[in-house]
Amino acid sequence: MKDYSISFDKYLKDFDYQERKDMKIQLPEFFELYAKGEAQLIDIRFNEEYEAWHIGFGDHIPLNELPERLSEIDKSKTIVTMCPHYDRAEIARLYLKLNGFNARYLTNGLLGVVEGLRGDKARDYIQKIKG
Amino acid sequence: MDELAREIVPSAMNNMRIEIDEFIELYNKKECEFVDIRVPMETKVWQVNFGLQIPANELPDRLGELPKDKLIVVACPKADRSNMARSWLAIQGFEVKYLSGGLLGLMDSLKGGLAKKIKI
Repeated sequence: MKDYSISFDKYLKDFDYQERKDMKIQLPEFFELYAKGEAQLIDIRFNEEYEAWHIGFGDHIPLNELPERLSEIDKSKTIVTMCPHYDRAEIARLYLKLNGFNARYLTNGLLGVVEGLRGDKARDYIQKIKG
Repeated sequence: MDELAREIVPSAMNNMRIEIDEFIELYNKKECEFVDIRVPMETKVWQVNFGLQIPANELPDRLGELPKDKLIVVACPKADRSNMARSWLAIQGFEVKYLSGGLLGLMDSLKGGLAKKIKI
């Protein structure tokens, strides 16, 4: 397989307006991509946080375990990283990007997901993705 | 970057960012340098009248402009690009944090008479 990984120096020097947009994904676009099976969602919080509460879809790989668990990530999909807000999701996104993945961070974070999927909206979306 | 990712533990999360009030305190004591890492077009529209302006993508070529003996605080409007710049600078060996709350938060906490809080 072709290696798409790039050095951090090169990534930073090439950082432009387009990449500034491409690095993030908003909820509506994420919901759509995920429902179409074109995105892999990764909750990158620590194990203890995940145990305390998590959402009913997507995967969980703690940020500090990413280097050892890259094989669990699908190179053919858009990888969407997520934490409560977006600070750690951005680190994870950057790490994955440098390792050749098409990764974006979820701007609204987990809190945005739970805010966006309340009541009937949760029902409708889960039905949509689980059939 | 592998090492940086692996070493992230819950108790160290606060070490990567600095809150606005703490930043102002350190800046007033001359114990940190402030770096606005936005692109030139953005800094042209509005700028902060203290610290340095080095766009993130120029950091690799302009490392020499950063002091090595004090904390570097990087900032962008919110906190995504500054977080990225922080990661890069941390890998280069700098003591660096990103400004939690970003430039927007900073402007908000330096409104009106509060602007006197920071010593320029």
